[in-house]
Amino acid sequence: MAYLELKGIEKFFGEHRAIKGIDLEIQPGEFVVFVGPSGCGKSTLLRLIAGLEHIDGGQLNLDGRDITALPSSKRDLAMVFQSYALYPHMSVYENMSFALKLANERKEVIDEKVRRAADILNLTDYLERTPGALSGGQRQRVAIGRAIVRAPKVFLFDEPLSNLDAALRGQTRVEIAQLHRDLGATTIYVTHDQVEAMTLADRVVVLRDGLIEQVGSPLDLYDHPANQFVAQFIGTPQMNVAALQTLPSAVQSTAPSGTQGGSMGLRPESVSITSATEGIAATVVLIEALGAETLIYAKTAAGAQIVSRQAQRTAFKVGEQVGLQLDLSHAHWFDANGRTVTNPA
Amino acid sequence: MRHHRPTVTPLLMLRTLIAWSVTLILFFPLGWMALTAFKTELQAIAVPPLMLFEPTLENFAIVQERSDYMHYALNSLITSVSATILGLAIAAPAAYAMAFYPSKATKDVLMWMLSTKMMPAVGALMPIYVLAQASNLLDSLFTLTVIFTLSTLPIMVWMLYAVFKDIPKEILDAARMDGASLWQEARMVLLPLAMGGIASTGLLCLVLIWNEAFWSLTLTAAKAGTLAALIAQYSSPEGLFWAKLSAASLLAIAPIVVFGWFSQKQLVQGLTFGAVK
Amino acid sequence: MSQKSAPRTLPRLLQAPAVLSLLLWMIVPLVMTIYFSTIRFNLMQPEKTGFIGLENYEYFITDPSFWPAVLNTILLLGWVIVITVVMGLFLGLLTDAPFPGRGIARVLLISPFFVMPTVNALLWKHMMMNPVYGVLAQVWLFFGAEPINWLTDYPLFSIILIVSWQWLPFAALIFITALQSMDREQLEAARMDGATYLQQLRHLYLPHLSRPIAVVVMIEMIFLLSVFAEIFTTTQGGPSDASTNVTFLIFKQALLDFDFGVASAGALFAVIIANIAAIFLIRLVGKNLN
Repeated sequence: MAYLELKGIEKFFGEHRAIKGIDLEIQPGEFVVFVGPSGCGKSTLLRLIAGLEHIDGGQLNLDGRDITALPSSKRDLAMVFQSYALYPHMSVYENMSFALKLANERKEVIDEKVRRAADILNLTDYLERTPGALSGGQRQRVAIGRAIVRAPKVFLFDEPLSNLDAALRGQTRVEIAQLHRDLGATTIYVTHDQVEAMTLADRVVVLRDGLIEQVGSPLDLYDHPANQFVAQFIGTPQMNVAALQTLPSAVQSTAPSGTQGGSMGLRPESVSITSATEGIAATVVLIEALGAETLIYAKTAAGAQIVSRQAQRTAFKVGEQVGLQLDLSHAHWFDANGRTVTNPA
Repeated sequence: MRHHRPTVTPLLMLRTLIAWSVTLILFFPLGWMALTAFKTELQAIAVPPLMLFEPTLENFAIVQERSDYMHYALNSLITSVSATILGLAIAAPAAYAMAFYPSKATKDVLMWMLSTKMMPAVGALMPIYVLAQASNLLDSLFTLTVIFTLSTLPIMVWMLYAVFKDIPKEILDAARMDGASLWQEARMVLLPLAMGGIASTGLLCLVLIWNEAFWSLTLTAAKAGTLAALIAQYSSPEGLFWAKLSAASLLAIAPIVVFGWFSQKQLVQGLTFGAVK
Repeated sequence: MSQKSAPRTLPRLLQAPAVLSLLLWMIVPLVMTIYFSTIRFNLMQPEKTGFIGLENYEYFITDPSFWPAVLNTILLLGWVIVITVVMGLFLGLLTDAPFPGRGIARVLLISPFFVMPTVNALLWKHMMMNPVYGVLAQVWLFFGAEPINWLTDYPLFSIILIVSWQWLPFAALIFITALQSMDREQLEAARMDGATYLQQLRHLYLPHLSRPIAVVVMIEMIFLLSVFAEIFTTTQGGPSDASTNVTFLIFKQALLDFDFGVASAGALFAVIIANIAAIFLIRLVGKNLN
């Protein structure tokens, strides 16, 4: 039986149906990432699991127990908030020991647990400080420490890295991944950043408008997206998608059946830029030389904007006429409703 | 506010001069009364007015000795403090509910509370008088306290609402996730964080109630009269005991004026019901 | 199809005491006042009772002091509002930019507001306005003029002066607070564009202050309608009814003439006026609530 089960979870805000019936099973020790555009309901879903919002429909089971109607204080879940939500009037030590104190744990036990967590997170020197005297990164670690100390059944993370600067974000992402490896705790992590999703998750749940679009491992979603939305959400830069009519007839003829009125997608690494004599005619619009790879943005005569990715530096310049080579063996075909007809093998 | 030394220019000097002149002129009546409290009666009515004199504390001593002054002062104290505490006890839960569990009706409820404060006291004078008389509660501290509490309740709810809204809801969510019951959450997290705002609210309401004059003058006599009523009695030409009047007045208002200084911010927010930040 | 979200019993319970007590506080007196205003109710003649419809209203309005009281109320409101707003703006703008001792000056400026109204009244009546020993008399003499007997010769104006002095700090404090939230960058941009102080005043300061001014006017309208203690302590509404406002008139009828019926009619009159002003204030505040 799954560790955490969501069955037909629904949530209304007034008349608006924000969560439209979510079914999901999460295994013990899994690191699951909820990802999606703003307003898709990922944070709401997390808060429903946490008990901070009331579940209007469906059932939530944790470790065999129905916790749908249970208040947050009794669910044995820990949450790391986007704004950290540390208690400003308490020291780091008190912040981390608060939950245990409420549970009437013995002082020695509390002390041992807090110090161990502080050690893991390099917070030992800061135990007596208050949150106001800490940097953003340190505060974030205290927020994580507060959760670790409780050894809850599931860890919930609500966009924990979005308030950090870019350098710290990368570093902390690695630390979180490491922490998960060491502790092996079941984790649900919400983010809008698909890079975090790809790097941290065992499985990714892509949400849109209160519904699950697809669930799978990161690479699974990358290689076999279930629809155009997922295909363009995962992977950066975005997958190139063009409507069938705008493609040259030679390409259109290779479309599988069922794709009338639909589109074709190619990831940037499946598009290469060659000289203007070969391939589809296009003009270079922008070149992003990132060092390890180069992104070339080009516009076709038909007006389609294409991105190409290559590992080598390029000699082409903006405004130059070039040719696009499409590796059709890696094409994703979508029908008129955006659903995937075939993915590359 | 960044504190930097402004460069001394003629404009600055002119502004400083004007500002301080206006300030001193406006403050003068108060300052003059404070000075007079330390004069003897003769010095108080001296013509032309005395600026330099040897201060004396005899007026304060005499005022303190008058048993009815202390009686009235005690009444003021009892009613103000009780009404403030009672008001806070009723207003705090309501403000908590409205700040952290808002519903569609919340805004309407707040507006409605605002409107109850708009009703002029005189509109309730007759019924209250009749009710109080019928239940033998005229000239009673109890009646005054109840009325003071109800009159100040809307302001208290509004101000506490603003205080609670300033506390990030996520911190309370975190407490709940940490296993806190509602009571524990309120006691160990909310209260410490809101204490400053609650204190200022209490202070401001204490000031407003202490200064309340309408009900004190109409509903009370010798038993439950507050200082407002006592001072009003001095208006009859019982002899021009100005120095003593000043001393009594100074005693009556000094702590309140000081409290008022500390509750400036709440004053603006409270009496404009949040319309000016 | 919407459903109820989180259980609503707890929040309702928490709000109940406040809502219920205010409901009682509003309804009971109002209903009773309406009732009193339609019956014969004079404490001096307890045997005379009975429904008399709108007669009390007639008595109230035809009372010779009625129109003077209304006029006085309007004059009081009008003058105090004008004085406090204009002076308040002046003080706010004056103390907006830093100057030595500004903190102390501000503290001194707001003090009068916290003084008990009765103390305030007596302070002015005896210490300032007394025609023989008062400070104003001394100042008048200093300039070689005849001292004015303020409370006897200009009763309403004296009351206006007393109330304005007390409410000026309120207006000033509001404006000081509002000025603190002015966009400094906008001012700097204007200065760089070559705007003089007067132009800045007209185009930047006053528009920003228009809302606080409206709030001050509304609040004062509501509270000044009930000016009572100052009149009670100094002139008792006199001489005759020269300084009687509507509130004091009602008080006189209720607790000096003991005619509760007529006084109740008057009270309702005052309530209606206050509510009209209140509606505007509520709309103003409601826009600010989020």
